[in-house]
Amino acid sequence: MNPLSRLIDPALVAPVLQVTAVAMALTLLLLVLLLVLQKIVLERRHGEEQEAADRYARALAEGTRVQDLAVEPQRLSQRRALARALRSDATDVVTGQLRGAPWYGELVGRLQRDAQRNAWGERVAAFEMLGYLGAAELRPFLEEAAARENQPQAYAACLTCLAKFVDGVSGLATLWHQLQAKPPLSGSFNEGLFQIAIDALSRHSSSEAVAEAVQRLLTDANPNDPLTLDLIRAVGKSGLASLMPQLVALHAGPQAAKSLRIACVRAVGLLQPDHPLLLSALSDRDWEVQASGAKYLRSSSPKVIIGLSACLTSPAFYVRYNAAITLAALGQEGRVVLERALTCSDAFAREISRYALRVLDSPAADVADSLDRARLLERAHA
Amino acid sequence: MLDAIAIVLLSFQLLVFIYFIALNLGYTLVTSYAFRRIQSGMSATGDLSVVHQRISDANARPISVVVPAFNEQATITSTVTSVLNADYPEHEVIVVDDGSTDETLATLIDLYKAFPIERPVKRLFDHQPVTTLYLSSIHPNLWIVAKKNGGKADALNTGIEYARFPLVCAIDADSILERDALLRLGQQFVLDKRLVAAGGAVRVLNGCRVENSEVRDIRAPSRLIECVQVAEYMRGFFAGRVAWNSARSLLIISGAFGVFRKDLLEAIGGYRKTVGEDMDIVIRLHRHCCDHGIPYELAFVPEPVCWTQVPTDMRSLLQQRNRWQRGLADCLWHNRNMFLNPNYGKVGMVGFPYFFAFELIGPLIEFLGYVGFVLFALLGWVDTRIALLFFVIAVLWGMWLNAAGVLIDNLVLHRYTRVRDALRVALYGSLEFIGFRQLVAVERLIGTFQVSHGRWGAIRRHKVESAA
Repeated sequence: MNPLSRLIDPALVAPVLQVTAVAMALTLLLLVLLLVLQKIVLERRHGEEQEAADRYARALAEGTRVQDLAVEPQRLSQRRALARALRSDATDVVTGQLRGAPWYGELVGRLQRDAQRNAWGERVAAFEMLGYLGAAELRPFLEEAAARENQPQAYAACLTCLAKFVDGVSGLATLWHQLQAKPPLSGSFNEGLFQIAIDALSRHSSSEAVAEAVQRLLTDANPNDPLTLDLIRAVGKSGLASLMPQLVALHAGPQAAKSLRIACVRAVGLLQPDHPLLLSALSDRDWEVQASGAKYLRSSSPKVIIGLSACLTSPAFYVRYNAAITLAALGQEGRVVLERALTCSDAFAREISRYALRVLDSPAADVADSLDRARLLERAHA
Repeated sequence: MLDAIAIVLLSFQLLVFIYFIALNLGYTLVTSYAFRRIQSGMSATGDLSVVHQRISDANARPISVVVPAFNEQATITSTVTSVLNADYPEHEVIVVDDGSTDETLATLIDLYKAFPIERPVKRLFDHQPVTTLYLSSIHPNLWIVAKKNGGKADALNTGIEYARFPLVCAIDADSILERDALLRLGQQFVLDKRLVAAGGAVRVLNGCRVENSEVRDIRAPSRLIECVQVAEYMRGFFAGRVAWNSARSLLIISGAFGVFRKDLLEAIGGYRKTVGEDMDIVIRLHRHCCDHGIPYELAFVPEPVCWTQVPTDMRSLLQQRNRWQRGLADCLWHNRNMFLNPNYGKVGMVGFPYFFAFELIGPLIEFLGYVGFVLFALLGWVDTRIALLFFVIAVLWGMWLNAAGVLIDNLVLHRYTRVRDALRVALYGSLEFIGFRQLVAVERLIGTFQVSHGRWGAIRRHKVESAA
């Protein structure tokens, strides 16, 4: 007797399997139908969006103002096409003017609802669009949204939107507190965010007022907090030269950690590449600070040339590397130092100087002819 | 006595049956979860200018792209050109010629007008000696490192050593990088300071039309063996990895396309010499971060795409699967102390057991199931009706998973634009369960027992510009 039939009763199992097979076949059929339907819907939506985007681009090219575009906010394709038009470099949008558009109120309302949906993609799109529209009246709503948002892209989009709406000291402070409450975004993102906020603030206030607002934040903050370092770097990128004395003071502070000194050197280097702080950084106790100084320093003064020249023999690779590249970038004065280093007793200095000189000459470097190439290939395979 | 043997055999077959149900149920749940997950983020992935703006605003970290190449003369120029054309504020390309015996190096030197240059580098790893370093005179960000042959891991380590930037991207020399791929992966590092590595999706290039190292028309391949692999890749990347990523148990970032933090690669001693170097590096990153208490994240992002050629003949395919299985076995064995070890969190408690039970010993169970079935048939114990119904369910379930995979694929960027391509992949791909899967299971089983073999195996490559 078949032992299988003692364990499994075919009369019982077969109908179960049969029903399962039929159910699977039906769901498969449904799935294939869904697939075809999905394909058609997606492609049609894509086509509609493209068509609307082309229409808006044409209208804008012909001189129509954004606020005069015919937009139906209830249509997703048109909302997305408008977002594309607004973020285009070719579109000149004056924030605030869009409030006069007949579709503005309805659109902002819809975006507000989208910003609270479960699908994080929709929240990202909504936050970005609110930023483009300049809907600063929604700032309290956005602050709340940022506090509860956990999806990184949506959180980043929400913060970017808030940074664009900064128009006073309190806006900058709110952004600061928001970032301190949820730290996982990267330092480079925070730095970019501060820069956006400083730019936005500059549009509403004088440069003195902007500098004062940033200075107040820097004064109150813990100098070794990573967020402070991000703000310092943003100061450098935003060109707030009036804050240079404070940066120098922070660098010289008794408790200035290595990361703080690097951030200050970098910011000062971006603001004034021949500042004495950079020269003093070359003799810092930490090689990372020395490397930063060597990277940002740009001056042909004899003191700088001597300082960089000394760095060529540093035991730290990146100090030598940055010093050599900076010397190469300084022109004739730097070239002379590098050429001299080719014959010095330090093998590292010779090596790095040879490389920097080669880089300096590379645009004019002749491509090896075929004979040379054959020889090099032979050597490579040896 | 015969009864006892029968009971043992039947119990084993029952185990195989439960295994089959558990595996497919797992795949179904994972696929459904991944569908929801990708659909949720769909609205945010369309426009590249947003990503571009975010990367520029954030002064994103530059990336060194390392391309290890061994006898890749048919594909290397398309790969390198696609990486050079990638849209990213600052990146460099380091091609490491691993002692090729064909014209790979000569082709690169010729096309990119490279000249030899000496550049001091900080020695980080032990690897085969570099013979010459070249710099392109038309692309100042393209370096070509010629070295003695030492294998893929050795070449990657050499490339990392020459990398000047804090992020290192490893890509295969037979791949085409989408123009936006680096931007999309780079963005992840901007959004999460704990991120140590991120991988993008790898899609099948076969069948697509490539022009100027860019994929112009996304088409399904016409051959069955290629379609089956397209479906496999879709399931693997758009379902499996999305779910593993969400479960914080991602154990693999494809060697064809992944970005890593250079400082951590340096800290763990670079790639280990194994045929599964891509899985090994991810596991060791997990281990390093857990051992040193470093808060960390790994990510899989479905939008950035790297296109790769898949084998077009059965022999190459089986060789590839054998190698993957050897790599898997070696990685799990090498890191065996992470297995069910709570110190390694979900990776040790979920990821490792899954890979052990379903990926490593899966082929063995599957193979024994087939053997048992044949034995039962010979003994006349098979109820033909039940066997047939079971077979139909297995095939339908496979077809269902494939169709669902294509459904997810429709939601991502760079998808098939024609309905017939999507349907072809869904239906042709389903034929995997008739013959193809069994052959691969046997080859994987062989691979499991050949774990000590270090051979890579040659896969026949085709020029990508005429891959359609």
